[in-house]
Amino acid sequence: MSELQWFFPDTIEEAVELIGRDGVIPHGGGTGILRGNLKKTRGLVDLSRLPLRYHRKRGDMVEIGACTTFADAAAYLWSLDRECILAKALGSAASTPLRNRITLGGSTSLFPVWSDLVGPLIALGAEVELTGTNPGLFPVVRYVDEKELRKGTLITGLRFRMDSWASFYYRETRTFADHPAFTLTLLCRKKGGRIAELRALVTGCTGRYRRLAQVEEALSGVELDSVDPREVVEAVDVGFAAKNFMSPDYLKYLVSVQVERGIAGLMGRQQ
Amino acid sequence: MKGVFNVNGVSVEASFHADETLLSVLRSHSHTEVKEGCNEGQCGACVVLLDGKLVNSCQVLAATAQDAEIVTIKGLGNLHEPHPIQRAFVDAGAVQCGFCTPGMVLAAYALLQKNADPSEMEIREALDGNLCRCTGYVKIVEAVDLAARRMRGHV
Repeated sequence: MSELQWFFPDTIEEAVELIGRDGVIPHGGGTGILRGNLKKTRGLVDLSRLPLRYHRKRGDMVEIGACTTFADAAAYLWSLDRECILAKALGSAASTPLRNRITLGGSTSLFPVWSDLVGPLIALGAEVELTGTNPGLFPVVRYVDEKELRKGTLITGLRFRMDSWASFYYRETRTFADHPAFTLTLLCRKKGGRIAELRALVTGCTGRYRRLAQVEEALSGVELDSVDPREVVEAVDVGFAAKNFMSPDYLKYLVSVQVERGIAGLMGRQQ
Repeated sequence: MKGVFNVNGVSVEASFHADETLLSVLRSHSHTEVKEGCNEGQCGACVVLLDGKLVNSCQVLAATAQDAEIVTIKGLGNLHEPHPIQRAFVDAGAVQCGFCTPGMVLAAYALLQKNADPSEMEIREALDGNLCRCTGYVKIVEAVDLAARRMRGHV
């Protein structure tokens, strides 16, 4: 018999107390947990009874509860803005039945290598709302980078500013159902015939994610007509570990190709 | 653990391990119409409707499905009273070995509940979690389209 114990708290406070115990972890949709090793897990805290399944817009800020599924979040964001990078990413992640199960909180906390969530969140400057040991709002990038911040905490929600970005999202898969080898997020804001701001981010690389700072710097402030996507490719600086059937060099090449295509698309050019 | 599962409108009391999946519990309680395929959430053979949402039952821990409304393919129709989607699958020649068919029909049902008049692309997107190794999908997509038209009363 398994020694695993289930808990079904009705309040966030109760849930936080439970996940503070040794070997007890939160359960959102469970898809990430099932891919992990449950042998060291003593308890699972089901979050479905908590009021963490919501989405709303307050002013410019979009707030989404941690237990909101990819499918529900994508549909909501899609209704707000068809260009929303997060809607594109969540809507293309995994498959229809899995998107009905994977939660934003679970995917943010586990940040699996196939995540379609964290790249767009970091690029958007999103914040994660935590309760427990380190309560408060923190940039998602800090949550990902700082292991200490994650200990004994429960994600209760995510929020980001709904700005008018032109966006490009790409997930490198061998087949549509495959986990992505990497994802590429490009956000672009244009003003007065120039690129006012560009954000470029890759996940799945060494270090889990990488901001393509040289690409961003090379294009910021540049006149739209003078952008040459082929030249930008030289600024792509990203490393990979070898993956199934793909060498690090090949993966970097694929990123470069997609950066070129993405920039061209954002400039409204034929690809 | 012990729990109650509401499957196709019938309450079933079941004993199960804390780390057991819904797929495992359903199959060990005679719901073998829920097929076990990849066990990784990739093939869609095991999909069921959980509170109206299409999910891979191999990716649901059974403990979290207690008291939820679970619908398997048997909850839609049977040999004597097939659901219009099942009838359309037969009429369109969309069934070969049949292993993927329960999942395909449930995925189509979930789609048509939300969208009665889907485009071909919308049908293909709705079936993106269901693999078929026999038909090449063309007949399956045609079957869903046929079912949609019949259910709208256009055929």
